[in-house]
Order: sequence, then C-alpha cells, then structure tokens
Amino acid sequence: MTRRLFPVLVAFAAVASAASCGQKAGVAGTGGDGATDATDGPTATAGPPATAPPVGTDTAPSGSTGGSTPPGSEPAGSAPDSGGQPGSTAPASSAPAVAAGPYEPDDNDTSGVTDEEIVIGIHAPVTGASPIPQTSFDTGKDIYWQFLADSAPDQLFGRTVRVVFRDDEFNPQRAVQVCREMVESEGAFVLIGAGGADQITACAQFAAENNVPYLSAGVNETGLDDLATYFATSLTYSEQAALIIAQLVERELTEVGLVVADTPSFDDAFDALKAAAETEGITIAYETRINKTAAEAEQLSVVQELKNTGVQGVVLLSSPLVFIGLANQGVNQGFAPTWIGPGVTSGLNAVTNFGCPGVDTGVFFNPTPQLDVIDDLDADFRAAYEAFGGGETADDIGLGLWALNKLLAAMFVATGEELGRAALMNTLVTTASFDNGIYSPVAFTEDDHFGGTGAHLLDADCAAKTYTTAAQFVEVG
Amino acid sequence: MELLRARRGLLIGLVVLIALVVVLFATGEEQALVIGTISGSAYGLVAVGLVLVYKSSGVFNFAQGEFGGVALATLYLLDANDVPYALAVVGALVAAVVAGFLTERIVVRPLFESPRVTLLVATAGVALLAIAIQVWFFDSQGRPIAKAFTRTDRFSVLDVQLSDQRIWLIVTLLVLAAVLGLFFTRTNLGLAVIGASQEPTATELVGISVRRLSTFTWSLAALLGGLAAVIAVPDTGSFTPGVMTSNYLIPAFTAAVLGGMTSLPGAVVGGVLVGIVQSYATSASIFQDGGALDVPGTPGTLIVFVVLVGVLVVRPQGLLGKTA
Amino acid sequence: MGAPVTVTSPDAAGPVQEVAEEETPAVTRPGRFRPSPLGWVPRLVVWAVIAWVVLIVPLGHSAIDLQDFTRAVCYAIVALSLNVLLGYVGQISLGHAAFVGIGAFMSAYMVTTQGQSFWIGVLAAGAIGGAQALVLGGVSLRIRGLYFALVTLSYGLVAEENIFQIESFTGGGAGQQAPKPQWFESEWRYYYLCLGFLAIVLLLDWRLMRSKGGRALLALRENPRVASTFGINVRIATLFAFVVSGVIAGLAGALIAHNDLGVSATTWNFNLSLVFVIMTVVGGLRSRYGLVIGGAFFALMPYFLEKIPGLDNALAKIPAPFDLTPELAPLVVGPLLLLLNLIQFPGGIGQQLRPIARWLGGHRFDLHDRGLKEVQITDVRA
Repeated sequence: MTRRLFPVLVAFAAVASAASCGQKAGVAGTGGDGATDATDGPTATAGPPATAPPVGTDTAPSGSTGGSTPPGSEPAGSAPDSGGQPGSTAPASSAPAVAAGPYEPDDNDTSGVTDEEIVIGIHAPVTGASPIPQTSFDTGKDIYWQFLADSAPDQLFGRTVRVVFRDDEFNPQRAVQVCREMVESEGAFVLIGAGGADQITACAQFAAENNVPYLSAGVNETGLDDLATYFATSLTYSEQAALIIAQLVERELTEVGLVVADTPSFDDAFDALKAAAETEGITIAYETRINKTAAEAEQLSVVQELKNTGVQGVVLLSSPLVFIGLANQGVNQGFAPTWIGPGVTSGLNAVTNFGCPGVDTGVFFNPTPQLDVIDDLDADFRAAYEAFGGGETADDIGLGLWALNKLLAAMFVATGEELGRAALMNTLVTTASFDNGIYSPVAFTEDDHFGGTGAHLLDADCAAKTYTTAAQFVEVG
Repeated sequence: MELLRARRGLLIGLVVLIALVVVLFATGEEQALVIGTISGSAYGLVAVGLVLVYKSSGVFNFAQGEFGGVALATLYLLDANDVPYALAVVGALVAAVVAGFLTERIVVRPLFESPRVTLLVATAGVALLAIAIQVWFFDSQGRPIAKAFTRTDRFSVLDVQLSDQRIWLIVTLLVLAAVLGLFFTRTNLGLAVIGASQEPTATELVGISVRRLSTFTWSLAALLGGLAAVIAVPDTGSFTPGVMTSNYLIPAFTAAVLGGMTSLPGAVVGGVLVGIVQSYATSASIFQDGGALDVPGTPGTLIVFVVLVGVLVVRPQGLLGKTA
Repeated sequence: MGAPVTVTSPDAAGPVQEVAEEETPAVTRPGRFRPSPLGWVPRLVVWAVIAWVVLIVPLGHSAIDLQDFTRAVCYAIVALSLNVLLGYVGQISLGHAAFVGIGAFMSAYMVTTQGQSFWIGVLAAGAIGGAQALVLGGVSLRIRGLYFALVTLSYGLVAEENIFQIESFTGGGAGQQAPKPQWFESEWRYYYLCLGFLAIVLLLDWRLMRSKGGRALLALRENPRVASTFGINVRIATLFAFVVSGVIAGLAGALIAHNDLGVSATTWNFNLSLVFVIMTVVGGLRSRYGLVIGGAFFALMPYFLEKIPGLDNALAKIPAPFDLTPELAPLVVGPLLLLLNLIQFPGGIGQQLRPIARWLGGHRFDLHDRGLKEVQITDVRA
C-alpha cells in the first residue's frame, strides 16, 4: 500500500516546495483582466463637458412617443422634479469632471467598460427557497437596453449594455460566488441584486471589498449601511416602517399582529416597525419571528395565535411563499386580516397567481407600481416589449427590470463618457437625485447610500389575479 | 395483570396522551390539540404508508413522500388543463401508483436480497430523482393547488375552525387505518403479505408469489402516499417540488417509530401525537425568543428530534409495536 | 525484491510473472508478484500523468475554477469521512451535512469572531466535529441500522434549523466570513494546502485500517454478533468510528468554509447530506481512490457540464417546459448514478477501477479482479 501513496507524496512534496518558493501570491490566473485596461490612466476622467448635453440632447433623439416622461430625459437630477440642487450640473462644470468626489479609481476602475459595451451583472434566486420565475427574467433584463440602443444609440456614448445573469440559489455563499464569477470571468462593471436580502448582503460585502459598485432595491440596513460601494435604489424595510404604520392609522387598524422572518438581517426592520407602531399608538397584540421557510405546522400555529388575538391587520415581512401559506391557512381558519408590509417580491403577480384566494387582503409597498398604471408613467414600456420581447407579454418582473435599467442608464449618462467605477460612484453621491419616472426619485449622499424616497402601494385583487396600484409615490414623511 | 402487561404499550400511550392534554390545558395551549391533530393527520397518513412498506419488506421507504409529490404534480397538471377535479384526483392517484409500481420493479426487485440499508439509500435516490424531475418540469416555483372542499366554517373545535378539507383528511386517515388493520389481520391477502415478509421461502412454497405481493404492497403504499398529499397539501394553497419530503417525511417517520414500526394504528396515534407536540413547541411562549427554553430557529424541529431519539432509547418498539 | 528470472514480453499489460523459487531466503512470499524494473516504467508513467493532472493542470485555470477544484478535494475528504461510518462500520449517516457544516461554522467563528489563526480554526473544527459525533453517538449507542439512519437524518434537520441559527455562533443572515489563511491566500496555494490535507487524511485512513482498531471495525461490519464474541465492544467501536468520521468531516468543513470565503446555514441541508451519501456510494465503499474520485466527480459535475462544448446549445434546443439547464443536470444525474450503482455496480467507481489501481500498485493487471464480493453494507434488521 505504501507503494501507492509514496509516489504521490513525493510528487506533491516536490511540486509544493517548488511552487511555494518562487511565486508571488495571486499570480496564477486571478482574473487579470483589470490591470490592462487602465490605459487612460486612473485619474484621467477629464470629462469632456459633453456630459452636460444629456440633460438637453436627450429629448430630441429619444423621440418620446407622447408619454409624459420620455425615457432617459431626466438623468442627472433635472430641475423639474427635484428642485434646486447645486450638484446636478457638476458633471458638466469642472474640468476633472466626474472625478470630483470621495471615490478614487483603482486598477480595475474601468473593468467592464469598453468603447463598445458596458457589462452589468445581475444575480437573483431562480432556484432555492424563494424563486423568481426565470423566463420573465431572461426576457426582461435586456429589453430596456435594446430599446435604448434602438431609439437613442448615442445616449451612452456609443456603448451598448450587456446584461449577465446568474442564479444565486437563495444561498448567500453561492451569491458571493456568482458575483465573483460575474466580476472576474464575465467582467461585470457593476453588480445588481434583484432579490433576497441575505444574498444581497453577502454579495454587497464582496463588492465593497473589491471596489465594485453594487445596487439593489432597498432591503435591510444591517450589514449594508457601512459599505462604501453599496447603493439602495428604493426604501429599505426600516424606512418603510413609517409608511406602513401610516397606512394602519389610515385604515383604522389600531391593533395588529407583527410577523417577521427569523433572520438577523431583518432585526433592524423588526425594531423599526415596533418603534414606529409605538410612536403612532398602534398596539402590537402578537408578534413573532417566523422561520424563513416555515412549514405548514408552524403556519397553522402562527395563524391560530393571530386569530386568537382578534386583530384585523397583520404586518408581515417574509418571503412570498410564507405569505401565501399564512394567508391561505388564515382562510382555512376563518381569519382574513389585512396583510400589509414592505415588499419587493411580495407584490409580484406571481403571488396573486397562485396565492389566491388567501392573498386577497394583501397590501404591499413596492418600488415600482403595477402594470395597471405604467402606461401613464412610461408609454415606452409596453411598446418596447412588443418590439423586443420576442412575443413575451410584459409582466411586472419585466417592469421592475425596466425601471432598474432605466435608472442605471440615467446614472451612466450622468457620469459621462469617461465611465469608471469611481466616476460612477462619485456621480451617485454628488448628484441631487435621479428620477426615471417610475421609482420615486432616488437620492444619495456621501453618508447615506439608502436612496429611496418613496414607494407605491399595491393592493391584491383576486378577481383579476393581479395586484393593482392603490397609491403612487407615497413619500416618506 | 397479564392483560395489562401485554397491553403495556397502549397503556403508556394513553398515559402520555392524558399527560399531554393536561399540560396543554394548563398552559393555555389547548388549541395545539386541534392544530396538532390537523397536521398530525397528514403525518399519520404518510406514516401508515411507511409502516405498510416496513411490515412487508422491512424497508424504510424514503420515497414515500415523493409518491405524494408525483400525485401533486399530476393533480396540478390535470387541473390546469381543465379536467374535472374529481377526475384529476383519480388521475393523480393513478400516477402515484404507477410511480410506486415502477419503483418496485426497477429499484426494489433487484435489491430484494440486499441489506435493508442499501434499499434505504436506493429509495432516497428515488426520492431525489422525483424531486429533480419535478424541478425540471416546473422549475422551483410553487404552483397553486385547488382544494376539493372549500367550505371552512362548518365545524369549530376549541375555537379552531376545521375546514371541510381537513375533516376529509382526518376521516380518510381513520377509515384507512381501520381498513388496513383489518386487511392485515383478517384477509388472506393481508396475511400473505405479512407471511411473505417474515418467511419468504415458506410463502413461495405455499404457492404465493412473493414478487407479486411485493408489487402489490408498494403500489398500495404509493396510493397512500398519493392520498396524503392530495388531501393535505391543497389545504396550504400551493405546492413546491419536494414539499412532501421536506415537510412531512421526517415527522412521519418519527410518528411511525413512535407508534411502533409494525403497527398501523400506531402510525395514526403517533402521527397525531407528533403533530400535537410539534404544534405545542411552535406556539408555546416558553420556546420563543425570551422564553425560559429559548430555542434558536424552529422549536418544532428540535422537538421532533427529541421525541424520535427518546422513543428509540427508552422504548424502541414504540407504543404499539412488537418487540424487535 | 527478488531478481526476476525471465521477462518475456514487457508490454503495457505488465510483464509475465516469474517467481524465483530458488531465490535467497525470503523476503518474498511465495506467489507474490513483483514487476520487473521494466515493468515499473509504464506504471510510473501513469503515476506521473496522474500527478500532472492533479498538481499542474489546475494551475492553468482561473481563480474561480480553482475554487471548484478545491471544493472537489474537500468533497473527497468528506467522502472518506463518510466511508469510515458507511464503509467500515456499516452504519449510515443521513445528516452528514451537519458534521461538515459545524466544522465550517466553527472555523469561521474562530477566525472571524475570535480572531484566531486558520490553523486553530481547523483544529477547532475537527474537534467540534468529533465532539458532535461523540454526543450524538453516545445518545444513540443502542440504536443501529435503519433507526440510526433516521436519527442522523433528524439530527441533520436540527442542525440546519436550530444549531446553525444560533446567531452568536453562525453570524448574521448573510453568514459568517472566513478569510483564507496567511501564505495561502491565493487560490492555487489554497488548493495545494487542501491537497496536503487530503494526503494526510488518506494516510491516516490507511494507518487506521492497518491497525488493530481498524480490523475490529471491519469485523464489526461483517457481523456484529460474531465480532462481539471476539471481545470487540460493538458500541465503543461504533462510537469510535463515528468520532473519527466526525473529526474528518469537521476538517473538511473548515476547508470548505475558507474556500468559499464564508459560511451560511442554507448550504447544509438535507439535499447536501444525500449528495454526500450518493457520492460515497458511487465512489465505492472502502476503496480510497474510488472515494476520492467519487467526491471530486460530484463536486465538479457542474463544472464539467459547463465545459462540454455545445452542451448548452443542445440543452437549449429542448423545448420548454422540458428545458434542462446545466445547473439542473447534476440534480438528475446524481440519483440516476446512485440507482445504477446500487443495482448494477455495488462497488462503485472503485470497483470498476480496481484492475487499474492494482496494476498501479505493482500487481499484475487482471481485468477480472473485482475484489472480494464484500461490498454489501451490513444487514441489520432492527
């Protein structure tokens, strides 16, 4: 037997000693695409004042088809909707144009940006405990960019955008891995998290360590609030607490239950909700932290406890599957409160598709409105789907992606032709706000990367098996 | 006295039940009795299938949950294509039986003589395969499943409403357990099944085909698994691939062990007991955050584990089983 | 090595055996085949190729691929760990993800929260893996066979849903971070480090089975009742094997944690436990090289599938709803392999490769050498 092992051991020892002698760490193939790209020199974001034109020239080429807010026409916080902001013309004015800001470019600053294209990496759970339908995703992620390339090809200074998508399997470690793949193998310029708070947190941490800008819808704040490269494009759960409690007051639900998923990421939301309730005099008759993937037995118990207290409303922060389970168990037990909460995925039509009739009393906040009002906000959406959707019907996931991409485009345009990671992030924190007409305006400062300012209220309608928009642009008070 | 000793398991079971009821009422958690019975009935129905297979082939059938999964997937497909519900249910059960039949033919037959642990692993493989195929066809998304009976307010026990669907579940469980119990003790076929498991050679000598019996048993078990899934899961409104295995299988195994792996009524009793205990663990404030016995995560899972190990250490034959 | 008398045809199949009966006293056992020096050449060539594939080829890949390779090495260690229980003692653990996972969390906890070095973390991981096995095994001393499987399964769930939810230990929802150790920060160095650990585990495993304790375990597997008449304490021996298995699993967990740069609870689920069992069985019980190959194969399946040219396109052609993504394929392939293995090829990959392995070890190449037909897992009726 020794004979078998011995050659292996010898070979290993030989190679290992040879290897560890001469090599530097990180030589062999650690994604070396970044270093060679900095041909322009790191600080040469001597932005041509051509960055000013975005505000002006867009209205012409984009040929807005009569919609009230032509896409991309209000990138860098234009005057109409975010009044009086000193920073908004910053990109145009100073000579070291967009470099003005706290971010310094590093060796990989322009990784993912070439003269021809920009690469964006998105990750989302398509498999795992709380999946999002994949086909909607596959179609929806590119449509805005195809539309932009078609209608305003010079908007991004001759670049097209390529979207890379990966499944993070609802596992934070896997999310880090796919984020890394997207950055190192696919050369992503920015990373985006489409859903799943824990995965977003994990990947955002990875992105921050590697100086990669990372954007997501607002989720938790714990673990994200000290990351330099993380930007939330909508209200976090904690920020929505005030809106939720205000809704409860409006609906005269003075006694409610509070059910929040049992993950540490949601601790700050849990506390914020309780604090907001106390301020407004709402009594929380029953509170519990429910398992992220609660099974029937647990759902039954929780619903029964809620029913026992006789509350008419329940504030809920959990995955859509748990919401559907709770709602339906409620129906079984004759308990149909108003289910209200913050949401990014709970307000999807996928939920009404298979959660009815239980979810009929669901009311959720969402960064985007629903399909019923989108034509008033952006007429290009449906038209683009018809043109580029390959026969797929426009759905709310597509809408969410459209809005996100539109926002990104505005950010790219505002940064200017010399697009780099540092330049982009500088633009984000120095521009007063970004408005794509679908989200509430998004505003970052150097200290506050939670950019949401408002949300839409969606109401479940089981007759139509969709959500409808109950209130738009509900601003934080 | 003799009678007492012979029926010791039953006595212990009764004592446990009474103790449980007393504790529940004392702590104000008596609703756990009803809720536990609801979820426990589902566990019991799956457990009956497990006991059936164990009694006849000595195998722990890991695929029992996924026989139900196959039924659910079929029910969804048929329902989505506008097949009348009753017919869809029948179709679903047929699909489950086919799955059981195929499993027996392709996996169990060749491994007839193999150690039981090998078969356990094999059935686990079958379960995994079934889940993988469902994910393949449906992706991981949940799918809606309609209930058979929608009325929910007919009965109410201890302030807990019992929907019609749930009544159906409990009734089915009781009827099935009784029928199967009679089947194994009174009918020739049932006795043959038992005989085949204990003395296969002798059974063959008497002219009964052990192989045919095996096919029959597995198909029957699959039918039971299908029934469990088709009645219990629509109550939650939706199903995801693998839900039967992840949510029902372990409690069902615990229930079967608690009741005694060779006892069908034991499976029923065990199921209800496990359900009640699990429900109590979930709702009792003592286990919640800040309680005296604060358990991180889901208390129900830990309780089920404790029950399982407890039974195996203290009384391995369970409440109503025969000594191994 | 006795001097061979005749070498007739030194071809790749190995030289014809000649026993030197009139040889000097015997170091050589009668009938023991020894290849000639010329016969060693093809063997060494194959060894060199294997060494090249394992040691050099990965270097040419990207860091992300190297992470996959390191995971393959770690899975091989897990397979070896599970084999101690399943192959040597005949008890099955359906909750092995818990043992690997707790090692992962422990190491991450030690390094990140306690500020210890990687090596302390690894030690702690092995220790807690063994401790966990000791506790669980101690509680279930009397439980065997199928019931033991159930207990381990239920325990796996407890680990996933209770133990790994202890926030102070396992970190926030995004998991606990686990940076690589000093001097091994780059992926390829860490890969070699893990290879080193694998070699150590292989060595330990070999020594263990050579020892009296190891033989006792094997006797235990064959027939516990007979073994106990020989004075082997069945329960202590089983517990011992369980602890050894736990220690190795904990070690593997630590290595995986630092490979992934973090640990989170959702990874260690029932599905993973089943994958571990499948890869151990498909690899081949009691066959070290089989286990290593089995573990590596299952870890690398997604990687291989991605690399097959044209597979993506071929799969895309399958019409919805039957479209099969490369991510999904391992899910389907794994159980199929398991079933195939159990029904047709009980010895797994190890058994199939046995002729080659024996040849490499200096024996004659014998295509029909399938090992003793002793690959049944203990028959235990509970």
